[in-house]
Amino acid sequence: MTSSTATAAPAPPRIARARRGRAGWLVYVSIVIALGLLSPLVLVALDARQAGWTEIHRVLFRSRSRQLLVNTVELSVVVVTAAAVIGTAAAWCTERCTLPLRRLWTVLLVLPIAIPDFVAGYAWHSIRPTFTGLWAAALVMTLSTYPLIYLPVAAALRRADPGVDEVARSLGLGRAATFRRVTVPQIRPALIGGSLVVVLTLLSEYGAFEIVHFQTFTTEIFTEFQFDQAAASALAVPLVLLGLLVLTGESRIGRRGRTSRTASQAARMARRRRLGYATAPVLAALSALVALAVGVPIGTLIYWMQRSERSTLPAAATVGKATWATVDYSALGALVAVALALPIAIMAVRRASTARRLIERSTYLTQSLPGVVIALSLVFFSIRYAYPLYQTSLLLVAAYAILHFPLALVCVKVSVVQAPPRLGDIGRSLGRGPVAVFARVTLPLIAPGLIAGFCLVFLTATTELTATLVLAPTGVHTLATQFWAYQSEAAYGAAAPYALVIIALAAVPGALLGLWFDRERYSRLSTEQYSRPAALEPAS
Amino acid sequence: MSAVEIRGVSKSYEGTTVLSNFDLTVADTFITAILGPSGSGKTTLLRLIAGFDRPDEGTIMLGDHVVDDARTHVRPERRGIGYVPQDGALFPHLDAIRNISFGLDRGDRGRASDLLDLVGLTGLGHRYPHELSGGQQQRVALARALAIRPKLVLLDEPFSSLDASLRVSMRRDIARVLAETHTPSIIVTHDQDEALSLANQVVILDEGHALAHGSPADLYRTPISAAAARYLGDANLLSAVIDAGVARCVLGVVHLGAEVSSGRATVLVRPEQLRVSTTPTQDSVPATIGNVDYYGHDSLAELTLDDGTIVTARLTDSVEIGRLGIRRGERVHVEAVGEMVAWSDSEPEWTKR
Repeated sequence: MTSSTATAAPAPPRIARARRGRAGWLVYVSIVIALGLLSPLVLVALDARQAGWTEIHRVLFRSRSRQLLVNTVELSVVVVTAAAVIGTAAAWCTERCTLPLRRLWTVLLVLPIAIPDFVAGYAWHSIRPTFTGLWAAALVMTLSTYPLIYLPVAAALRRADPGVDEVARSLGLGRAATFRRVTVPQIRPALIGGSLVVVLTLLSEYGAFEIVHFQTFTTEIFTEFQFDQAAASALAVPLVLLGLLVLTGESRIGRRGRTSRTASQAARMARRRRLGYATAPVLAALSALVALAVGVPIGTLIYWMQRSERSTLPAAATVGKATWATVDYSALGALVAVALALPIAIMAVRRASTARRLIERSTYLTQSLPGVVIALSLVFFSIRYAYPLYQTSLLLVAAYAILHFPLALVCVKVSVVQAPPRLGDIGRSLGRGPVAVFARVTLPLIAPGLIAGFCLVFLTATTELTATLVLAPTGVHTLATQFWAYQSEAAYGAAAPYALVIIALAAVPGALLGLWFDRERYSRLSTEQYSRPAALEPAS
Repeated sequence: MSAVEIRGVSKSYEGTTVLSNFDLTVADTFITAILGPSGSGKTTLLRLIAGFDRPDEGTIMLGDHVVDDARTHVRPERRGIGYVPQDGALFPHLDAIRNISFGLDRGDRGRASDLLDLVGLTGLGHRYPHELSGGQQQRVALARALAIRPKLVLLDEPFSSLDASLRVSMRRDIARVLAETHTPSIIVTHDQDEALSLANQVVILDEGHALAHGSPADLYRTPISAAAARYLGDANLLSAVIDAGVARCVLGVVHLGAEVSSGRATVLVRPEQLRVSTTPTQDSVPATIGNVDYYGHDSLAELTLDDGTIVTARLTDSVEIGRLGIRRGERVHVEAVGEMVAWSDSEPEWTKR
């Protein structure tokens, strides 16, 4: 037998030496990426400054700007209120009630996401040309943004521990009081988070508002851009500030929501309420909602296609070419976004520190930048500093990547959490080198998330209009620009096929995404909670 | 030869010192249990031995090879150390058999199914981790670690996520598998039953220091300090005066197993060293029964001595309780039997080794 000893010397604690560097370079790579993503902010500021203070003053403090601000605020209040009520009610119906064909409804209710706002606007406007102004814009935007509230609230309801409701009932609270005092606080973070994403969408929307003749900062920037670039940049300043304001609010609430969540790992499913005699009215209301949000746009498109003479419809080859261009640019943009998101996700998940968190959070700032602002800054950049790049597809791909980077990051981050470094450690201890471990452990585990991120960015980029209009090189036609061109000339029939192809293109990755978020296979093993996916929705 | 030798190792994370100037030697062919509360640096120790992290200072040797010092850091894949973490950490995208054969060369794949049999999971090779129970996942994790014929296996609280009944059978199975494969192992735990029943050697870890070490029986019967005694098992620690080889305390005169210098001292009386009866004996003192925790095979009774001191006594069900019909408030007589351990108060604890 061998001897064994253990001694405990009463040594004073030594001054901690810094950890010897593992993957410190990742932080530097991340900083470079973050700076690249944030450069549009800087460029807009530079451009606005170049315009001169008097110009900024003139543009910002004319009465028109006040009107634009009033418009934006009025619209935000109306749309957020309506979307919150509709989204929460729909989530309640699908998550907490015995709804016939529940699965089908959960799909149908999210479908408006695949329909670009400008297509919805066109559909309504083409039915009645007098369909204009605040209420028209509010209707179109409510119908297309309520899923941004429905999704997080439904997720929160699913996650909420029904035991808490039962305890409230046992403490003598009635149904209504329980909902108000227990359920609402549980879904509040999701509700507010979703609402803020809706506001960001409204701030950056261009196409739908242009069609229904409703002016906001974004439409105004677009108009100015064609005559006076400096004025456009000056107008971008309040827009960016509004976006940053919303984003700060979101991160605040996000933090609060996180701390208030109960830690229960496997919450029981809530027992569903029987709808009983209310079934018929509820079904009627949901059907009406889906008919307005999905039926009207698709129905209108088909109607216009059928009514058109064969000769006024675009040739199949033209549609094919535009489809190819759209797929090409969107796929490239998605690829770049995912590739840039990977190092940042690994950096943020693998080790927590204030600096790492800060770098990661800063990349979410691009979410507050409307497409038109990013497009403008890229135009500014190429004209001033890199003229050979001006009017090349490279800029459009870069715009897609920057614009949709946060979406890619959310997906990639979730999957990096699925591949904790512990698993890599185990692989190493089994005698495999770092490269083999990455190929055999890390990559297979994060691949689904990379694909999901790709799909999400691809989907959003195919339905993107504003940046595409500004940046598409002359002679290049995408589905969105073609649709826009025909629609502007009131050639409704010629525009319709392009819109239908967009919807079809967006539906495929949409379905893949649905599968991904639904998958059960690895989720039971994940030890960490997923990061909150509220910031997940497109701000087109 | 020792399996692991650690000399003067310090490690801190972001300014928090976890281990400081830590020494430990783990003998070959042993199951060594490292016992300590959460936050005492157990997991850090294993991660350093496995090579996942690098010590700030100090030397780690595996067998005759230095794997960590100021100049050297042998990468984890070159160390040949099996690692079984708390939750198993199976690769979720691989089934059981491919998890086990992860570290094996292509020609050696038959070994994976042998190991599957060894850990008692014959026929479950094609299940994915999420299709296995917690205990089964742990078995696969052990088989995966053993597949590479490691020089040493590290187990990090391998049973803590299992329920109590499963834990006992898993403990036996793992001890059997480790013995059959002749694999030295280090197992960290905060469960003293686990440490006592599983290990040949126990190291008690407290706030980054090794408080005591030895065989389970030695650590329980003759702990080197009051702190170590309190850590392992129930302990009555009474102040006493030593004179001429016997200790005088509230229980009267008690006998010591080893000589202690005269003067004030602390004496350890284990609950099973107290005999309780209804009639007084020559050395007994009177006491009143307080709370009784009934465990079936025995009970732990609180006894209040007449000076107010509370001691705990273990009563065997068939003998004392059945005969005495012990009830709260009853007057009894208590006597310390056998040899006790004592530590002189005048010497600082750490010099007595």
